[in-house]
Amino acid sequence: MSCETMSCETVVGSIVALLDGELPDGERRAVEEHLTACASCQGEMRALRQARVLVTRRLRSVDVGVARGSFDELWARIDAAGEGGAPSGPAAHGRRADRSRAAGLRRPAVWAGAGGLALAASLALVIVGLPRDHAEEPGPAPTRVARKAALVDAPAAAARVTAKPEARLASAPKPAPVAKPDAARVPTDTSEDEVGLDAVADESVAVAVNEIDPPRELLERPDLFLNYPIVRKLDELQHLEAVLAESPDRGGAG
Amino acid sequence: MLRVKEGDREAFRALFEKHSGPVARFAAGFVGSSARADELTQDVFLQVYRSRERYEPRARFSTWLYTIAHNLCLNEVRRHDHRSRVDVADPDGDAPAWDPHDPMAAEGEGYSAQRELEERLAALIAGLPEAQRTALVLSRVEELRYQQIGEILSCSEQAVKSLIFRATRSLKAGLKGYLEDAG
Repeated sequence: MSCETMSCETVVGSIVALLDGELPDGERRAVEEHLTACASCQGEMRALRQARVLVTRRLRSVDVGVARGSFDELWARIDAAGEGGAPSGPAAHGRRADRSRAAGLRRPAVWAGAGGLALAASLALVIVGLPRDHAEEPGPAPTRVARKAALVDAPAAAARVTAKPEARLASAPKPAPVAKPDAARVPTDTSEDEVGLDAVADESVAVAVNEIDPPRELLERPDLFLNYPIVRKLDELQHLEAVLAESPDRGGAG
Repeated sequence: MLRVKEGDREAFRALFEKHSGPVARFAAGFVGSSARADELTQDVFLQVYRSRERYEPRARFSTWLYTIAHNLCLNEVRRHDHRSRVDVADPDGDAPAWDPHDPMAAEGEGYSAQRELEERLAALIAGLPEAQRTALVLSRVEELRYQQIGEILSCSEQAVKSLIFRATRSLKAGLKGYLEDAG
């Protein structure tokens, strides 16, 4: 391709791409050939080249040193929006735990399993620790509020049973037969007025349950709950209750 | 980026440290202010993190990154009608305006001429149409290939060639008097 075969307009339109190294080989050769022979296009190329150099220098001269703390600021924004994902590393691990403590417990899914186990554990503890005469009293089916009260009181009950579970079993009258969950009475040593509490809205109960401050380790490993002495004891007690229920001299109900 | 997709904070930090400078330069070139470029850079990476699950490894990461940066810069410019407010003498407003009649200025005549050229260039760049400015900044500052710029702007390589040529030609025309042997 020569000066005659490639118009000056076409060549000028390709000069910047030529300087950028963006022309295919064939086109590049044609443009270069034209430039060799065309003084007008050579002048245009010089001007475009100068403009290109100046603008490049200008754009690259802008000081945009990103501050060292920029990432921390960024992550703080992500954290603030609760979008921190699953960060890694010990520091992030600790921070995530703190964040979970602050907000994550309000997510029912996180704590639901452990909460259910705590409820079951508290039921068993109450049954074990209850005086027989109290246990045999007929009573209403457990209300949600009563279950909540039992759950809230679970740590104290757990402490009692963990301290001397065998002594409690030995000194207590023969325990009542194991009742089905839907018929179980759930007396508690709470002084709350159950009649009044029955009117409490479900949301309030849910909030109350979620306000329980769980052990820190359970924030990270909810499955560890199954290894807690109180839960293991629950398994033992359930087994014991099952044995007693099948025993011919269990007396009382049956 | 795949680790970032899983919420890995340290991987995200590494990504930020590697790419925040280029993104900030791009933003500064686009909006003409380094202070606003810093804010935009934060916004870009915030958007990257929020959109991380939509990132497809088939696409080049830098293309995806600059697409986000470009969109945010466009929003920024359009929202604030930035072009009309750019102080070309000092985009960040930290330095006093240059007074050509100031006797002290005569002592630094070379400096003043340079400063005048810088002002002129900043005004010309800010005055370019958005697509031309984007293509120009990505090419001049980040040295991206036309093909990649086309992916970012969703246009052909030929269109990018035309955008960059027209931008350079406008600058050349605006710099008449500053260039030797201007054609």
